[in-house]
Amino acid sequence: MVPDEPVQLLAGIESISLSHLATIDVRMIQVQGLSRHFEDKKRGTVKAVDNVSFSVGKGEIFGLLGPNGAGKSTTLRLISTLLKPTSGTATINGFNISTNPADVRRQIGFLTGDMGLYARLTPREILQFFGRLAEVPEPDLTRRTSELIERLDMRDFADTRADKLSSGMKQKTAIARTLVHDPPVLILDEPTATLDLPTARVIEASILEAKRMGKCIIYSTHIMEEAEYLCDRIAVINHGQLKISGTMDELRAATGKQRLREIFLELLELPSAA
Amino acid sequence: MNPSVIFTVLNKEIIDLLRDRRTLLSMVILPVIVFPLVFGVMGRFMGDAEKKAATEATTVALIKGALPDAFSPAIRRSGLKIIEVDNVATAVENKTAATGLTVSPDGKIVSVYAEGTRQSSGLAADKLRTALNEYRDLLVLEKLKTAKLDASVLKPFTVKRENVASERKMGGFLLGSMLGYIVILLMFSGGMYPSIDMAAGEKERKTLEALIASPARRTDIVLGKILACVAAIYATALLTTGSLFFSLKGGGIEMKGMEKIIGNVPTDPQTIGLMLLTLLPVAVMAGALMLAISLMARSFKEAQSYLTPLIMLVIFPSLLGGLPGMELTPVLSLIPIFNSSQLLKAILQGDVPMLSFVITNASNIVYAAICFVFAVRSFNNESVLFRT
Repeated sequence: MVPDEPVQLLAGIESISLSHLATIDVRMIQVQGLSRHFEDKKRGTVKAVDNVSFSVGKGEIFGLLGPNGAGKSTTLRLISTLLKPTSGTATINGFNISTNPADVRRQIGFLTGDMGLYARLTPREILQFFGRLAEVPEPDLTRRTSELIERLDMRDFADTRADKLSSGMKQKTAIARTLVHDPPVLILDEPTATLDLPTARVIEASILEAKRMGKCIIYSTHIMEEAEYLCDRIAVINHGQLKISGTMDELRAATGKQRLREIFLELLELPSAA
Repeated sequence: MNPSVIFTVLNKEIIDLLRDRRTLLSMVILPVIVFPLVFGVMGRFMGDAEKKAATEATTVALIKGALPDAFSPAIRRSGLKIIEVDNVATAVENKTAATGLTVSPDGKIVSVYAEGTRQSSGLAADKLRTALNEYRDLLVLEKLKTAKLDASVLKPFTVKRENVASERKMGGFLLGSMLGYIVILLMFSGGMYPSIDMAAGEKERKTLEALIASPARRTDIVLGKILACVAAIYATALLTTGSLFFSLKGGGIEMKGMEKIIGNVPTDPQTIGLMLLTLLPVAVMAGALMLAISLMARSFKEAQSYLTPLIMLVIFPSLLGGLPGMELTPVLSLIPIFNSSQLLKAILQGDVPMLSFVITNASNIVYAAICFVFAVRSFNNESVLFRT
């Protein structure tokens, strides 16, 4: 059962998670009391993100789960410096999101939920464009672009305009775009949401490879099976607040549920069909 | 400021634009064809219409038996074929005849009928009037001869009008009246799609978030976008001006009576250089302003609904700037768009008031800088970027 006091639960889990620190060398992402409020004419002050804290280490995949409108995307946008926090802070590889936003963005590869590809450019052109924005030296960029095209099996469509690509091809291109400047941190917002299973597997494999290479990854998803399979730790966010965070074993221990789907529904206080 | 990033964004936007058919149409094709269309097709059409009118201006309606015999020589002189009708006005109106003639019972008032909207009718009426005037002069001469008076008593002196304006100035005056209007209008319409595509289009296609999440600074990104937009608008101006001068030099002029005037419009490097210099701050102003406005919109359609009124707004001062009688005073040189339209006319006439030239370009540079800052600030404003 989930305790009535989610803050206590969170505190408990975080204390358990401290043991996990021993296996991870560096806290690449440290989020402390991050909040973002919006003023809405009808609803007044909306707390899109409310005092969220967590940390993610090198070589770790941190899953961020939550229903639509829970605050996942706003949290990711805050960490990526697209939005400014109302209060709280975060550091990415030692750079503060409020005082060093450009340095923070240099540390991250951000995959938005909508892919965001230029329809009239080819995947190769897109990779080169984003590489140049990150000021990757030209010889490195050429090599890196070829490597990514090879690694993500994009050879057949690397020089085809993006508007002619299937959604799987587009998502591969989007993933490659986030990796082109070889950032130590990846922020992935539902990267497999629109993909068929075989393509999703290719994307998952590339994410696991990124993890093996020591990347620190925040992974937002709606697919519970995928989160269980990929993520080292999982956090559930709802109404802008972090309800729980920990490894699958820690979440099971805290909720008494076995499957992530049940844990998720329990935390959202929704009945499980299972 | 990071020139490498700015150039990267500029380069990408230009490639992106050149692959967009809508942009190509408004930015390249329209400016290139507009003047050949105006001078060539429209001129030819007008020439054809005149020829057609001439072949149709062949008949005159008369009331059966109502015309005094004395007028028969005049009608013969006009070369018009007589059609006898019951009502002259109706016959001319319903095209039974090109023109018509009635004479008052005392023979003192001769009325020539024409249908004002029909070129052939006007032409026939002119023929008839000329023939009648000649006939009247003949009668007067005969009467003077009878009275043993010399014809010169009727014309003790002749009044002649001399135009001191050079042919170049006249050409510039006529051409300048429409050039500023057309070039400025095409610049704004040419910049519309690029500015929408680079701002609201990015929001709609969801590419903006990925772009601003890149390590590039937002100011560098928007500078690249503004420059791309300005390049597109200036390219429109270059193509429009090039198309104009090519049309003039290429001999595609078919407008009757305009050959001499238009042929004298200067196409020397100084005139072209001054025109392009005048258009540069206008292009920067237009590009930055349209990009900033487009950023406010959430979608392509919304941006279109914001920018269309802007183009309407531009039409008025640019058209006013070309009107005869308007002069570019130092105070009027402060009015954007109007000042450029007026200055273009003055440049074509070869009569550039130096003070107004400086004030016009200086004020346009200031307006361009304001629009530039506005666009940069908008792009750095998260409530503008993430407006939902």
